[in-house]
Amino acid sequence: MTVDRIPSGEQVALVDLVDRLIGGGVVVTGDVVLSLAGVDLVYLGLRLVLAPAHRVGPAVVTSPTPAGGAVR
Amino acid sequence: MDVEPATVIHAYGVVCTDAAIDVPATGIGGAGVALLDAGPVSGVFSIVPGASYGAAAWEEHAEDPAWLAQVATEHQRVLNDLVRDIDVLPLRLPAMYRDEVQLHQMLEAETPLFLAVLQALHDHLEWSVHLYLVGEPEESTVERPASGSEYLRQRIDALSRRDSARGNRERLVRDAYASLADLSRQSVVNQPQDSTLSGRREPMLLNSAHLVCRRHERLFLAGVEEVAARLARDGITVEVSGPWPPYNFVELGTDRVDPAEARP
Repeated sequence: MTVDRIPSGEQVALVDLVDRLIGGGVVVTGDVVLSLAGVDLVYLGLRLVLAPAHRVGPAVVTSPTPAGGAVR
Repeated sequence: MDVEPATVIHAYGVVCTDAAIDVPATGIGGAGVALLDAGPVSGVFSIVPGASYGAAAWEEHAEDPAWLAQVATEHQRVLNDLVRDIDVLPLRLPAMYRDEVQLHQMLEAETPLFLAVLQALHDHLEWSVHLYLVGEPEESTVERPASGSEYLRQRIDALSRRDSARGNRERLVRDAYASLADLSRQSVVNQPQDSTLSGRREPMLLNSAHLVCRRHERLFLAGVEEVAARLARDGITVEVSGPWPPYNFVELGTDRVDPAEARP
C-alpha cells in the first residue's frame, strides 16, 4: 500500500475542513453579517483550542487506491 | 447590539443558473437546501434559525471545535454532493445573510466576478496532497570509538549523513510536487499543518492543493500512486483527499487567469 486515499466527503480531519472552509473559498465583502474580523477571530480561536486533533466522523480508514484510481 | 433575527440565511456556494440542478435534501442543522435564482448565477442556501447559526452563535462558538466541526461537515456535504455533477464556487465560512433579499443583492452585485471564476474553473476540482515523513533511513551501526578524535570523526560523519539525507529529502519533495503540478492545471503549496491541529506526529513535508480537470482525475491519481511508490523507499507516505470544491483556486477568475496555462 502506498497511497492513503481519503474521500473529501467524510472522514477528513477537521483541520483539512477548516483550512478550506474558513481559509479558502470566495470572500464577498460588504453585506455579510459577520465581519471579516469576526471570521478571523473564529479561526484564531479554533486554532488555539483545537488540540488534540478532532476528527470528523469515524476514524480514518486508509485504503489503497485501486489501480487506475476509481474516482468515486 | 442588534437582536438576532428568527432566521438567517446560510449560503454554501454559487453555481451557474440551470433549472436541472439537483440540490441535496438537507444541509446545516437538517435545514432544507434551496437555490436562489439571481439571473445568470444562483446561490445555494438554507434558511436556518438565527439563534443557532446567527452572528452571535458564530461568535459564541468561536472556540468550540465540536460545533464548528458539525457546521463544517454539513456545509461540506452539501458542496460535495453538488460538485459531483456541476461547477460550484464555495463561499468562505461563515457566509451568512439576513434574508433572501440580501443574498440576492450580493449575487447580483458580484455576478460578473462569479461568472468569470466559474468559467475559469469550469470542469476542474481540487485535490489535496499531504506528504509525511514516517521513517528515517536506517543508520548503519557505528563502531565504538577508540579515541576522542575517532568519536569526533564519527559525529561529523553522522551529521553530514543527516544533512545529505535532509537535502535528498527536500529534493524528493520538490520533485514529487513538480510531478503532480505537471498533471494539474494549477497547484499551490500551503503551510504544513500544525501537528497539534492535525493530530499527526509525523512531520508534514508537503501540504499542496492541485486543480485538476475532471477528465484528468484518473491520470492525476495514477501520478499520485507513482510518486508514492517512489517516496516509499525514503520513509515518506502520501495522502490524497478529494475531490474538493476549488477552495484554493477561487481567485483564478479575478487576476490570475493565464490562458496559456490552461490545459486542454
